[in-house]
Amino acid sequence: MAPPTRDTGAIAPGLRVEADGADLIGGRCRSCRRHHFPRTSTCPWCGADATDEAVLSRNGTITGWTEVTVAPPGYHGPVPYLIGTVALPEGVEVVSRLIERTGDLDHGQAVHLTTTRLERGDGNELVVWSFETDESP
Amino acid sequence: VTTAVQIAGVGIHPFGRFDAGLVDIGGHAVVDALRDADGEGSRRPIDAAYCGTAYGGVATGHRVLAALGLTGCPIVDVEAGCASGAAALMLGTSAVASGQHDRVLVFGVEKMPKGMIRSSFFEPWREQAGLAATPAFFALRAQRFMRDSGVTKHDLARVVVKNRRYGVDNPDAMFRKAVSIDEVLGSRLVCEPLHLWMLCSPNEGAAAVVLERSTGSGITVRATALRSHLPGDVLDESSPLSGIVDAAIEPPTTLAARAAYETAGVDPAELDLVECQDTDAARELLTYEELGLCARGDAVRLIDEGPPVNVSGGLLSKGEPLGASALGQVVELVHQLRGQAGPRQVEGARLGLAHTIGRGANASVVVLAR
Repeated sequence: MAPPTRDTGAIAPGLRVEADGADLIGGRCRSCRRHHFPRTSTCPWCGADATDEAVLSRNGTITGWTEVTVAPPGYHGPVPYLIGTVALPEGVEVVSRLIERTGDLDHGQAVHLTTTRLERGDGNELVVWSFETDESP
Repeated sequence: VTTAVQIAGVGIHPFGRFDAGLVDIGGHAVVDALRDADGEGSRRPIDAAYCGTAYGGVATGHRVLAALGLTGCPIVDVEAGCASGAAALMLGTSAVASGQHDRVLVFGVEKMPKGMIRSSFFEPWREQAGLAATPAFFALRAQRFMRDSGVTKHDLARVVVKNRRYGVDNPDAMFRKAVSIDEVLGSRLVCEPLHLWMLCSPNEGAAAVVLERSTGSGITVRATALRSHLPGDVLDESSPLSGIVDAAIEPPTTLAARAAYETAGVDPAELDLVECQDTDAARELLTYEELGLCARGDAVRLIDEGPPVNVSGGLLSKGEPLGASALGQVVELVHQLRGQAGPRQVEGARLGLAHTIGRGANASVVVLAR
């Protein structure tokens, strides 16, 4: 495992923001061929010491969600907010903030990647990945 | 060759909120345990001490024992999240069983801030991103469990009602008032499906145990198993940012339970009582399945038909001082196996199990027998 990283500032580790949108930068193990996120130099699933960068799909499905109604320690963003898990076609399940646009969240609902800007509490902002419900099925 | 290990004495400082500091709280439980083992006024030496704590800070065990003039022996401070006390017990038991030491002290102590637990486990950016909200991960796991097992929110409330009812009879518990299903479901929603009263409160307290070579009569430590998580489950207590979709990954509780049952030579059906990690109400029901107390999908039936679970009131009544909670369960089992549990006594209890699961992930299973 990578050593604990220091506070990286404006963009959450694992997120890459490009002109045409954001991407989650995961890894794929050269040995077991499975994906993980964020990328680590060794595979967190099998321990092999070689992984390649893998840009994960921007579309996935919700596998779980809940609403956080009280600001947890160290968090300075708005409450309530949604958090859940999203399954991606690569076979990796990612923990993410969720944005609901269709009136209700559902297991298996289609979502796409976006980003959210949050107050960090020191006057700066953090950009973090979020998955947002698709407008229509 | 290993020697059987017995519990010669137990002590506890009530779980709750106190003006007393960490050292005094820990010292109270240690003195209580030594008095229980040695009788009033005498104090036999201990060969080593193991202290479980997560928030106590550097050399907590030394600080507690220094105040009692009990330093000089090796003192090992152990952090294993919610299983810290059980990890200390595992080390202490191994030391006696192997013949390294004849008589050891194991204790756990904690004095935690109020509210949602803040952990150095998470990097600052994860807190800022809102991705370090512990109750949210409990809630996500609860939802997955409810979907898999058909458990309802009403069932979760029943667990709270059960444990809070037991807690009425435990003078060492923080909450000693019975509650109704409607009150539980009417308490503030923290993270769907978990309401405030379905979540245990981090708090303060201490518990201590004196271990020695078995004389063939006392309460015997039959197993102390500690396991961490296997990789890949996005919702395990290691709170990763990703997992493997649809992977059937054995939870650490099951790994620890299997090891403990094998070491102890017992079948879960033989257990007379169980103390388990009810960090949240769904966690208790999920634990029934993970410990093999019932088949998958059968947890709710066990509320009425299974062995008594969390007759101490559980963490939902006692609160959870992380380093002390696992040993608090052990103290309860010892009282029960000795027949000294008063109004909450499980009649004829001979075999008991204590379980914790938490940050790390760390899962512990302790089996004690009379």
